[in-house]
Amino acid sequence: MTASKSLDPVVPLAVARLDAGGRLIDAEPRLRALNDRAGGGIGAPLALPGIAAIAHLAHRLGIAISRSVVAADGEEELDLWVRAGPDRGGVRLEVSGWRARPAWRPASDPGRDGDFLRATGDWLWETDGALRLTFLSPEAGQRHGFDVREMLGQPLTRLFSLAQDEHGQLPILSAVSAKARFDGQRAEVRGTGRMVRLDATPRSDPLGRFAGFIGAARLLDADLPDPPLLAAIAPVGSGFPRAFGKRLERALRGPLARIIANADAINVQREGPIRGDYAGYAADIASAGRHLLGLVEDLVDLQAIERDDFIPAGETIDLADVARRAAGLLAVRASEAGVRIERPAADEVLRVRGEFRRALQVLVNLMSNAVRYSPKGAMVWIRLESEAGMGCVIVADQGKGIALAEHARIFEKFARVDPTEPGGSGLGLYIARRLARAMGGDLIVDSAPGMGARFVLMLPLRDEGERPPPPAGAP
Amino acid sequence: MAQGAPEPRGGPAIGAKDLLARAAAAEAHDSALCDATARDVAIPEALRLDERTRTGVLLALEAIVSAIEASLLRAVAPEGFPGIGPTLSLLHAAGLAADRALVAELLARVRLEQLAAGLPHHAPGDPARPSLLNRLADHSAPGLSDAARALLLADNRARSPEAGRWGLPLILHTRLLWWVASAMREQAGPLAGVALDEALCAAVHAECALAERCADEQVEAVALRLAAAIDPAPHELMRVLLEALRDRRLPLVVALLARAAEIAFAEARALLLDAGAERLLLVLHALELPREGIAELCFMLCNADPRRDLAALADAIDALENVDPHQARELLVHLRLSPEYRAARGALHGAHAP
Repeated sequence: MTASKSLDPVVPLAVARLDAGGRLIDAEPRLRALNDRAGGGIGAPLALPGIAAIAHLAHRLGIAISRSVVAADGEEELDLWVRAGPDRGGVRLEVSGWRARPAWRPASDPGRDGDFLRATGDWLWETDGALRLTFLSPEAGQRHGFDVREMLGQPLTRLFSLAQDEHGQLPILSAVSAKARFDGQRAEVRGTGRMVRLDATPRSDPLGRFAGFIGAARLLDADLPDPPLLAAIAPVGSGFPRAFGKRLERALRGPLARIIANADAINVQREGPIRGDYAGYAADIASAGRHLLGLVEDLVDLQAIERDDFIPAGETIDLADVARRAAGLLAVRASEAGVRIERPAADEVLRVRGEFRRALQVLVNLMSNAVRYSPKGAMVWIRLESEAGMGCVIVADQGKGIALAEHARIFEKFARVDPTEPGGSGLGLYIARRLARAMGGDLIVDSAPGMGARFVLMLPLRDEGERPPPPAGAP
Repeated sequence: MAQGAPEPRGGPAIGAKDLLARAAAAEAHDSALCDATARDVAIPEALRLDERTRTGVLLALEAIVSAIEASLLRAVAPEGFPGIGPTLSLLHAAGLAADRALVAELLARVRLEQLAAGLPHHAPGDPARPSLLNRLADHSAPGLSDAARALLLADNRARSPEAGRWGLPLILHTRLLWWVASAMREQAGPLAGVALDEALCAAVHAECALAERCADEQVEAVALRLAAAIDPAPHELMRVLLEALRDRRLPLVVALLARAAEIAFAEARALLLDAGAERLLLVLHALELPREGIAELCFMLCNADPRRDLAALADAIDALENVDPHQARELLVHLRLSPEYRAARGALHGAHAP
């Protein structure tokens, strides 16, 4: 059998044929090897249950069907895309994908992204895979001077005239080719002179192919008549007034805390016995509440650090002390997970410039990720180093590690660790890196699948000539 | 704490009269509770709605009723009227919210939404090829492009939270308007005079007239217009149905099916929503659509709806080959009969209409 060409040249495709009884007639090497390792062989029924089920279904229905399948291969799991169709009385299989299931996966919940877009945009838009508009918030046209009826079905570029960013790129184009979300595409609503900022998240089909955007538009120059006043409330780069984040936090924190507390009480059946599945629902509510609370905190941070005038304090801090405190804060969670954190020795000192609170926030984030993705009985190491004018804290774990291809992605907004995990907004690492960079340092990752993950927080070493920090409590 | 039991906190101790009144109320409450429990346990598990659907129906009803309240209130008492508030609990108490036709319509809408949400997005083979509606919107035939744009717009509008009631069949919308108006009148109490009665009646009439004018712009009507404009030849029907389904344009799928089978939109929608899909299979078979297309359509529906059983579907499709299209057409003939007639026939046999 000759090797077939895959639609997508980077995705290898392996073909196999089965007879009417589901027995393997022949298979291309990659698929054959996988089937052999699973205990199958030529002339025997396919030994890969997920793929065999699809083949059986295609045979029965008499049509070509496609589905994604997770196949075990030794200790690894493979994400496969299987297309099965009737062929000469039997079934022809085309198996593509062949990606190892990553331990870190980008967000895949368009519903949640949609909620974010709704929260930050003035109005929403959606397109199909050819970037033609399929939805516009009905009230947007009237408010912003275009005819929704006219624009629906038209290319996105007919409504928006897209502007290049500082590198001469159109963020939206890179997003389409990378099937990623984009933020901050500046555009003019054609014919109105009004500038908007477009953010969007892609929709993909089950094969991961781009199937359109769901996006938000935010007016950059709001109502033109009174720009000075507007600038005072909402400086450029932020769609919300300065106090919005704080107000949001104040308004939501109390009610969410009550929801969580009550749901926890129901879950442990403090008021008396209830049906088991309802106790389970209550646990879901509590966990969703915690997720929301984390999200609120992240949003408040996000709003603060995305402001143009965000400058963290430049104090002299002892990074070793910060790391010890962060490890202390996570001690309970680590022991619950059966993970040991090896913190820096009590006499280690590493003086750098940065803001104590923010450095602590970054390290707590790194360590809690490390704890969450460590297997039971594993160890999380915290090491201190200094090189090239930078003081570094290294947080290393023994988890599954992060594939090289994911290294850039995990620092993107909403990129997140396994989306099926509760908690986490996908903003943590994005915020952590922004914070590290705002303090003159950086946050990098160094990891390979199976080797654990190593995150390095770098902050500039304190200048030698600098005075020691004032004693605690001094003004 | 049981309803009607004395609550000592936050007030003076109750007198003998209160105690007796509360005891009587407790008895009535017990009896109502027993009635409700009897109704509840009588529901066979197979008919019991899952929590998500039940909540969806309740929320849809709530949204519609509160939208009606808001517009009537704007019309009769712009500054508000003492005593007038949310009316839904009053409607529930009077048993009006359990209106069978209304609930059936809401259930069908919620199920259609769930089905649409379950359908995966589909990337076109050629990335530059727009989706079906967007291609039709650019079509050179003005009848087609106008209808396609109208459907895009109607779909757009239908997604706003206040849109729910305008999509209701006129008869149900009108019924709800009168119910809400009368509940509002009830809340206003003896303080309000006949002036409020008159204002409410006038407001309801105005709303009904508006609903009648808007009926042509609603998703259902527009989808039927587009299906008529597309007017697919019998051999094209399957392709168009499948493409509309891949684009997750369910109202268009329903409209195409209704037009081809010459049945009402609501009948076609019921076929699509039926998890067993037997009636859908028979109707598609009666239309002499190709087996592969039928299998593909049903496979997509199965993927979108966890209640559907793929293995049972495969069996049913195999069995379809032995069904004479003439027999299948009998079902079509039945579905084409006037729904009121079928309901009356069902009632005569003690069963609810299909």
